[in-house]
Amino acid sequence: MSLVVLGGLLIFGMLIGTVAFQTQIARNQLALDKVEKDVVVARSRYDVLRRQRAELRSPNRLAVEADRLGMSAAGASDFMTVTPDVVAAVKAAASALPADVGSSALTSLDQFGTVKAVTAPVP
Amino acid sequence: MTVRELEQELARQRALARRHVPEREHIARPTASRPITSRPSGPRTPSRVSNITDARRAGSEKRGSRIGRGGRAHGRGDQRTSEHVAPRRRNVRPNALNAAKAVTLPKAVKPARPPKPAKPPKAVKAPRDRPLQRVEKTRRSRTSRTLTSPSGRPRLPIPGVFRAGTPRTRLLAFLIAAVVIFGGILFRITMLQTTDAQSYTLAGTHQRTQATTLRASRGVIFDRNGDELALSVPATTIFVNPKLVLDPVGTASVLGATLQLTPAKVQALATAMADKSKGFVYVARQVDEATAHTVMSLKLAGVDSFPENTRVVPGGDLARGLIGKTDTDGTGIAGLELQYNALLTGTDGELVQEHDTKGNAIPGSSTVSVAAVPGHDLVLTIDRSIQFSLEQALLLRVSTLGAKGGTAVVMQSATGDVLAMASVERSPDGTYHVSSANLGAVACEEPGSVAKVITTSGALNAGVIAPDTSFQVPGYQIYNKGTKWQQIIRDAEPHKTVAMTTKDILVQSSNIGTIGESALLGPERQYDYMTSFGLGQKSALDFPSETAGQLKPWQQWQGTEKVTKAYGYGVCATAIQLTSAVNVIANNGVYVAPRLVQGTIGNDGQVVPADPSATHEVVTPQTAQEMNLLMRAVVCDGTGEAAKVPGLTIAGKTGTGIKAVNGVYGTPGVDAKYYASFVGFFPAEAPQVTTLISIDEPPAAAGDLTHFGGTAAAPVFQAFVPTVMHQLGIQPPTANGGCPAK
Repeated sequence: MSLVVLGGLLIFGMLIGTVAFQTQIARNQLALDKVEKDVVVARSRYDVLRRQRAELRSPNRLAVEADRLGMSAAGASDFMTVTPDVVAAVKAAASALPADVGSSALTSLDQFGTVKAVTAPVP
Repeated sequence: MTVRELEQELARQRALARRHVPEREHIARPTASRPITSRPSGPRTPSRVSNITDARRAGSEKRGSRIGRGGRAHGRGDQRTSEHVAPRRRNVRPNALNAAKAVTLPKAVKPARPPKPAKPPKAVKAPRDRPLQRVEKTRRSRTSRTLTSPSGRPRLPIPGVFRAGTPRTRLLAFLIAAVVIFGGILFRITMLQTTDAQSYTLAGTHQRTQATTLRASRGVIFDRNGDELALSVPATTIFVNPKLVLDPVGTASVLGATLQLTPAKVQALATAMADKSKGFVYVARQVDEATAHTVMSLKLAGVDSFPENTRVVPGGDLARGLIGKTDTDGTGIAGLELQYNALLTGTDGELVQEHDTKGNAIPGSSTVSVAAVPGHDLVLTIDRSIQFSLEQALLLRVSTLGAKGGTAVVMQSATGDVLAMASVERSPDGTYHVSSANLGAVACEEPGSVAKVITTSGALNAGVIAPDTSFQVPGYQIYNKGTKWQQIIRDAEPHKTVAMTTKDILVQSSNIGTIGESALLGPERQYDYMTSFGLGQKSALDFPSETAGQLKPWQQWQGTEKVTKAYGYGVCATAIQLTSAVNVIANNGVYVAPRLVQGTIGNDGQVVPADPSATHEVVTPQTAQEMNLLMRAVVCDGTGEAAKVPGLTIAGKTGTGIKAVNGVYGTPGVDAKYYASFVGFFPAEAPQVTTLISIDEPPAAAGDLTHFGGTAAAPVFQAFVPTVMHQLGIQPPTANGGCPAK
């Protein structure tokens, strides 16, 4: 009798476990769907932001904006020679700054390549 | 007792039974399986036996000898032995009837056994009522038993119930039928699970799933610094299902107002929506998301949308002729978009999604069967800022002069990388804009005096002249005198016959002097040098619709063609060809093929550099250096003075060619149309950038001096060079650069 009861409990437990497992799979699938949608949205957002950045950095826009601010292109230019002592003084003044100041660690192409390497296989 | 006697006795008993129990006629029907009994006593058995016997006899008479068992043979009076009958008895149950039969059916081969005398039927002696009561009782009992306990015993026929054959036969038939039916089912199941499985699986999958094409993202076009020149961004396409539209005119009107459609478009849309035979009509493709949101928020019946990428160029008209364009479906149709369409275009994917009976997607059931593979990205050699500056400088100059258009090319001297390639033109309304065509590659003109660089370099390199070689140069000269090709050729500046060195000829751009140099070189070598400098053949750009220009083989030169090619007539060259040709001098005598693509970016995000440009030596470094000095003099002392940049040494050459209109050259000062150009490189001491500026059809009225290369094009060069220097971070190699003080 005890074996029958034990077997019944075992089967019941297995059924409950199966249901719980399937539920967990469904929950994870829904979470995965949400993540995939988030990725798609993020990629769209990324493209839109890149477009906006490109437009903001466009020479056309900068020229218009500069003109609006009253700026104009230089009419003439000249090349001048900076004496070595001036160069040394500037370098001494700037020596306390970190080496990467003024330069981005990653170029635009590097940044783009990094993102693409991650997102390219994702639909 | 013999068989015959037995039959007679049975017949007698039957007759008696009939008299007493006439109603049993319809109860005891004969069956083929009923055994014969000859129990003589009692009212029940005789009546049954008699009925059975009668029926069997009747059946035997009717159907022949195959019906019935052993009794039948006796009934017919056959002298059959027990061997004929015995096998059939083996399956007979030992019930009462069979027991009687065993007694009444003796073995035929033992006739010696005296038959028992038949007992007189009790029915005769008994009161008449008794047998009837017993018969009734028996009938009830038999009927009841037959209905309630059919196991194993032969059933009595039930009045009004049809039974086909014996139970054994019926059981066998049922078994066969069941085997056939279940066998068929099993066979069908087997077929469904094996040979038909794939087709039904596909049909089922197709029924419950829906495949959606995942559009691959088109690659981005970058400039050399990683700034986007063209990219694809998400957009929304709005469409309408006319079958669902309730008010075509009203819907079209609302859509027209929201999407700012033209009245003609609104009318066409209303007409299309009134046609209920169609289920899909585009309203507006690839609109921005804000506009699409506005339209969809109206919740118009039948109006829907779907995402679709669109191609944008953030720089507006910047390098539009170079980049080209795509059609609405994202396929390149011009420029680099066309040339590298296969590279930029990715591979579409497919999303398979399960849906319910109403077509709604089932959450969590989405599966990607094939992932979309984005296209590769293109990294150009173009510098966006230099391109913009060049276009603006050209636009300013062309519009100031009122010229027809202008073309310019900026190239890195050592690599052949094209930093900028601009074309501007005048619209019919008189305004100027960046051309949608890359005229620097697809249009050719007679280069004029710029070609003297090639002739002089060839002559110097061939050793037929030296920089200080002197020529007696007249102001004009008649060639092919007395022939149909007779032509007077003049220098641009009238002069008497004077002594000119090679330097003077180049600095003053003397046509007559250059013809003299070419004469020393000879037409064959002249041709060889021209082709070696890149004329008469497509450049390595292989730009869509690029022209190779025109340069006939030297054997086909006729008349004055033999002399005019020396100073740039009778030959047609593109701007990129001329730039590359002059770049030979800047690159120390080595021709380097121009290129527009610096590399590509694959799906792994890595930049794959393009192959370096092909090179070949055209002239020796010494010749190149000699030409370098001569060309510096052109800027400092000659026709190219307008290209001087303070503090920077420039080497260059001007060119002023009269354009042939319908094969006829116009008359200077009257109707001549010019192609003015200037090609130079800087810093001349260590050339890094070669630049060509050309102005197409500058004004050339009498007394107007702005149609020369030195006056129309060189100023653009001068204004543009500092920008390039700043953008590329080029510093003058010497502190005292520029032209020496006079």
